[in-house]
Amino acid sequence: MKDDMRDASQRLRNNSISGESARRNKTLSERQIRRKEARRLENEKEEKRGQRLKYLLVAVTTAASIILGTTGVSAINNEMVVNGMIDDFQEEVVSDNTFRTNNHQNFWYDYQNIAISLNDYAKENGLSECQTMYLCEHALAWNKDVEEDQMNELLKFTDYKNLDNFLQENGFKNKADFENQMKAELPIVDHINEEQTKLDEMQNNRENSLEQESGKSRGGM
Amino acid sequence: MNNMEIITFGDKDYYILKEKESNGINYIYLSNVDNPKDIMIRKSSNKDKDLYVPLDGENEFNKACLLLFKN
Repeated sequence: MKDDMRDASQRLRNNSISGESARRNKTLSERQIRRKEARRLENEKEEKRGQRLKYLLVAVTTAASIILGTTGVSAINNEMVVNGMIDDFQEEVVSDNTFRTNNHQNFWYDYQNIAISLNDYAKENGLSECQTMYLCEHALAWNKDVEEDQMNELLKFTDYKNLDNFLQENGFKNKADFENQMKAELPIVDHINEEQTKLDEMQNNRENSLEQESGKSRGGM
Repeated sequence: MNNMEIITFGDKDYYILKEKESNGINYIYLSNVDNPKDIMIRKSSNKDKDLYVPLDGENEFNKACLLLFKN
């Protein structure tokens, strides 16, 4: 598997920095695409979005392996990064919307409020809706058995209404597809956000330093 | 009806999976219609925005990969 990924990464790299140029030329109708797919896949019929996701997942995980290779981030680190992001979501969104039952034996979530918080959280943290939903799913779930039920409870308060609609409308074949893609994306997004923060800090330091120098030279005149 | 855009390189058709813009350059992420393992990235030419050309080496390639995940 590792060799396959390495080969795929190398092919992507080589194909992208050399080869032919071209102009955009045509659009295939949904029917034409399905006929091409039916020929290629013989009797297998897939939804257009599901097939597109399969292509995209190969591209995403290949690109992810390249980025992770160049930044030297290991698989163990990736898991730690994602767990850290889940913890942050837990602390910033879920904790404030967790309440004890009257008998103090159990607790419950204010799913409506959590659902309302999702968009703002995504914007503030540079995440997509799907990435945020993944963090939410894992921040809420105390065990795997209740994951889907909890997601359905939460999604009742969104336009999706339930998990199946969420998965379908975002082009995921099933929950496992959604999980795999988010696990590949989140460490990269975290890395980009970190790099952006460093760039912003450097820029601020530079601006402050220029202001100070300008102030000194005026004072000296 | 939803359509998928295709771009032809040589004799091969590629789906345009995603597009990302950075500093006035449009990057497109492509997958061969007949082989999902054949993927590549192209960018719009500075002189002709409708012409898609290979990337300028390793640095630009890494940047294009990072862009794929940027929201």
